[in-house]
This record gives sequence, structure tokens and C-alpha cells, in this order.
Amino acid sequence: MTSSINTQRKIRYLLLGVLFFMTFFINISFGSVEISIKTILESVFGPTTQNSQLDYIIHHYRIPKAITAVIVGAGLSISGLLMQTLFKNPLAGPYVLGISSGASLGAALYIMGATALGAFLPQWLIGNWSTTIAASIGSFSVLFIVATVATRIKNTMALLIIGLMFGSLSSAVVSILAFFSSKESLQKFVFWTYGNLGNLALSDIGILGLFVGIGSFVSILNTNALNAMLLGNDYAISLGISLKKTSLIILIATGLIAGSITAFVGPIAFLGLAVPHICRLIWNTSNHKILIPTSLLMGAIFMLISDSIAQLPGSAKVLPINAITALFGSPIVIWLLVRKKQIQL
Amino acid sequence: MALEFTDLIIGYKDRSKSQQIAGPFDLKIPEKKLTAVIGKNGSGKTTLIKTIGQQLTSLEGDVLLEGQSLKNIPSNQRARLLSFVFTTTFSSENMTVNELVALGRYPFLNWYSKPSKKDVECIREAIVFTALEALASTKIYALSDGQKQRAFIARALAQETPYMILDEPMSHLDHHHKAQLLSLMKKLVKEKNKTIVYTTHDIEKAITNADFILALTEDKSFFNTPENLIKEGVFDNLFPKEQVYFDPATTQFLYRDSKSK
Repeated sequence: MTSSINTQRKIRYLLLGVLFFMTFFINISFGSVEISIKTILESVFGPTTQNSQLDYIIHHYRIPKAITAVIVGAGLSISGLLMQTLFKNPLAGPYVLGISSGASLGAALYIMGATALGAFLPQWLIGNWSTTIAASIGSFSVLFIVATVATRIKNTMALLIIGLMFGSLSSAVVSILAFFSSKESLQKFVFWTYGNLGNLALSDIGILGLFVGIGSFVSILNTNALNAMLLGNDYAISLGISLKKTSLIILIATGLIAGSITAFVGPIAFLGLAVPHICRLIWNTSNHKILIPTSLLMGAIFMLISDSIAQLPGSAKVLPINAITALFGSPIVIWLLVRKKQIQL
Repeated sequence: MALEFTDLIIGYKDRSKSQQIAGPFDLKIPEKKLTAVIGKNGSGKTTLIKTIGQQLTSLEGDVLLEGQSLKNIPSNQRARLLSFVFTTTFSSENMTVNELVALGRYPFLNWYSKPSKKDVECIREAIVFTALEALASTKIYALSDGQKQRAFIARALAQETPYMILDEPMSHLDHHHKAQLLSLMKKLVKEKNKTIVYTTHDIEKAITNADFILALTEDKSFFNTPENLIKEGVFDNLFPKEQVYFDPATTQFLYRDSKSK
């Protein structure tokens, strides 16, 4: 019986791997100009190039965007998984700590505050900032505050509520800023909240990859501890886990991942909440040895598909990625839940 | 060397005040014996367990394990000496019995190591000892209360600690499973040389099965063999006498308004 489960799992891993490569190349192929997979492969692996224009699109636009999608999808999914396990709450996601709200506040202050407060700020301060830096400062300030609070309180539930409060606080400030800002800057901010995968230079991707890589590596290092935490705090302590230390490590890993992603591509919601559930339902387990790798891969696939849909194949228009993740993902989660009828953390 | 309480006072501490629940205890839990902790609701049984487990800090005094204060034993070291079965606690149930029992090996694993041959053997042995072989691949949520209790005991067993602390392992179990659990605990003491402490409301079963009993009353605690506690008349004063009284001849508690009277 156990061996049949194992083979079943191996087949699913294999399918996941195949799906990953398929969606990766499909993602590169879709866009305002459709490029055949053959052309992509020739452009990447072939010795000579026939079409320098397509070559340029593939290398400077499509591949970086696909890589960004992979990093973003994988990172958000694993940080959602971490938060669900830490807070023992199936509704937790990468943004429960208020990290995205912090980033939004930073971006809003930069985009809209600059016009509202422009008269009072020196020009060099406004000019030299970019939305990314403003958003990073916002998200990491929130992370710092939450981590400081976490070392003082025992109760993770209190921490969850504090994170939500930070979210409400920053949304309130953002609303006030929006109220006073000009039409143009408000539109700019709204566009930022839609999320955008295609705006990253290679060096940006490197930084993003580094942060998400460190966060994911830290999670993998804590696989056994995360599994022990599934038994609840009493058992975790009795197994020799220092709850404070482990919680802080998990918080910081999540903060690095979710904070950097929000700063670079905007607040992409839903994915981090949904993908861990999809993996739990498909693999029918809560074991992090399975959930961490599958969430990474599934998240990447999910993001690649969402982005491919967002490109609206055959048209020059691009839909906001943030809407597509939920539009495409929610039915899957609902379908899996109705079919399996069993939700477990 | 044993599990020892020195002038231990337990309770809850807040920033401004502390609420004493029970104590002071000054006693040594004998090794390789089955000790039952009894007392009415609110007498401090669970508080005592949580103090031993370091979820709560003692108000005064200390818990010593093998002569060393528990506070000074590093958490990973402690996890190799003491294992627990708790009552009310969040647990994910989306894992198989095998996976649950395997978590007992956590103190012996480093960050991502695969279970060693010894780990696998310990897990198997714990499952066999608790007669869960047929259910090894079953999810926890699909188990009955009795099977679940056994699975959590197996998890504690896999931790391979000389001391096992169980908080109300008999609650929610019928007579058949209570008897099964009691004989399992006695078997663990006898065959595996474990020192087991468990809390219970079933005083009658504790009297006939446990080697020692720690009885918690409002102002005092008593620790002795069941026979001596009966002689001392401890059970007579455990509950308010107008409703329940202890009959030493049958070692049973009887209700005043029940038909037998």
C-alpha cells in the first residue's frame, strides 16, 4: 500500500516537472508577438540566429519575464506555506504580516505623496527614489516592527492580529494619500497595485532571486521543525524546538521573500494563499518534505500560466496579472475542495 | 536519579500578579514506576504537567531531572529525556500514523537528515508496541479516539525517553480502551523500564493500577502508594462529602443519592 502511494507520488512529481518546462516555454511563446517554441529553442540553443528581432524579444523581454514569474510564483507560494504552518491558520498567506501593505504604503508615499507633499520636500529626495526602493523600505519597516513585536509576545495569534492591524493602518494612510493626490499619480499607483512582471532588468532579477533563494533555503533548513510545529506548540516545545527562535526565523524568511517580491513586481495576492492548499490537496499530506518542493514548483507553474493568460494571446493588450491569478486559481481551489471534501492544515 | 520537585509552587504568572494553583511539592517520583496524578478539576494537574514541560515557569522552587534543574537542561537534551502526550492542543491530522510517530524522532535529526536505520527501527517498534501496524498508513483524522490516543503514545515512545508524561490519556475512552491503555502503560514500565506519570480522573483505576499516586487537594498534596493513601484517609477528603464518599473496602467512590445507597 505504501509503495503504491510512493509510485503515485513519483508520477505526480514527474508530471509537475514536465508541466513546469511546458509552461515555461509556452509563457515565452505568448505575447503581443507569438513566437513558436521551435524558434525559442533555436534562439536559446542554436548556433546562429535567423531573426535578430525575435531574438532580441526572447532574450531581453520574454525570458527575463518568465524567470521573474518563476521566482515570484515559487517565492509567494513557499512564504504562504510558512505562514499557514506558523499561524496554524489555513487563511494565512504571505501578506498576513502586513508586509504588502507596508510596501503599498511606501509606493503610495513615493508615487502620490510626492505630489501631495512635493512642495515641502527637496527635489533630490523625490527624484532619486524609485517605486521599488520606496516599496522595499515600506515592506522591510513593517517586517522589522513585526519581528520586534514577535520577540516580545508569546502568542502567535496576537502576532497575526497585529499584522492585520498594520495592514489596516497602512491602507488608511494610502486612502488619505489617494484622496489628496492628482489623477495622474493615483492612476500610476493603481497600476502599481496591478502587479507587473515585465519591468525587471537582469540585475533586478538577480537581487530578487537572491532574496527569494535565501528565504527558500532557510525554509528547507527548517523542514523538520516545520513538521514538528504541525503538532502544535506544546508538542513542538516538548520536542526541543525553541518556539521564539523558530518563529523569528520563519518570519524573517517570509519577510525577505514577500517583501522583495512586492517591492519589485507589486502586491500579487492570492497565489501564496492558494498554492499550498492545492499541493496539500493533490499530494494529500501536510508533510513539509513534500509540500516545500511541490509548492515551489507549483507556484512557479501557476504564475507562468497566469502570466500567459494575462498576455491575451493574439492581442496586443495585457491584463493585470493580479486579477488573473485569482480568476484562474479560485476555481481550481474550489474544485479540489469540493472533490476531496477534506481540508486539513 | 529521578524526576524531583523541590519546594515547587505552580501557577500562572502575569506581569502584575501571580496566581498560585498548587504546591509546594517536595517529592521524588520513583524511577521505573507508574505514577498517577489525581485531583478534582482545577486542582492543578495540567498546570503541573505544563510546568514539567516548560510551557509554564514555576512560581517558586524547581523541577529536577536526574539531579539537574530542568531550566538549565538545553531544550534538545530535554527532548531526549522527557516525552509527552497532551490533551487539548492543536494538531494537524493530515498525516499518517507513520508520519506522526516519525515526528518523535525530531530530537535525533539534524536539519534535513533522512531517518537513519535506528530511527526507522524505533518508529516501527513503537507502532508494533502500540498495536498500530494495520493502521500505519492511515491518516490521523480517520482514527477513532482510542486509536488516536495510542498513536500519540507511539509518537512519545519513538522519542525513546526514559520519562513519559501523559495528560489525561484516558479521557474520551471507553472501558475497553481504558483497560487496554492501562495495561500498555504498565507494560512500558515493566518491559521498557520507563518512568511514567499520568493524570487522571479515574481514581478507582489509579488505585488498582498505579504504583504511586500524587493526590492534589485544595491546600495540600499527598504522595504515596495507593494502599498507604487509603490508610491515611486521603481519598475520603478528596471531594465534598455531602455528595460523594470513598468506600475503602471496595476502593470505590459512591454517590450518596444513587440507588445502591
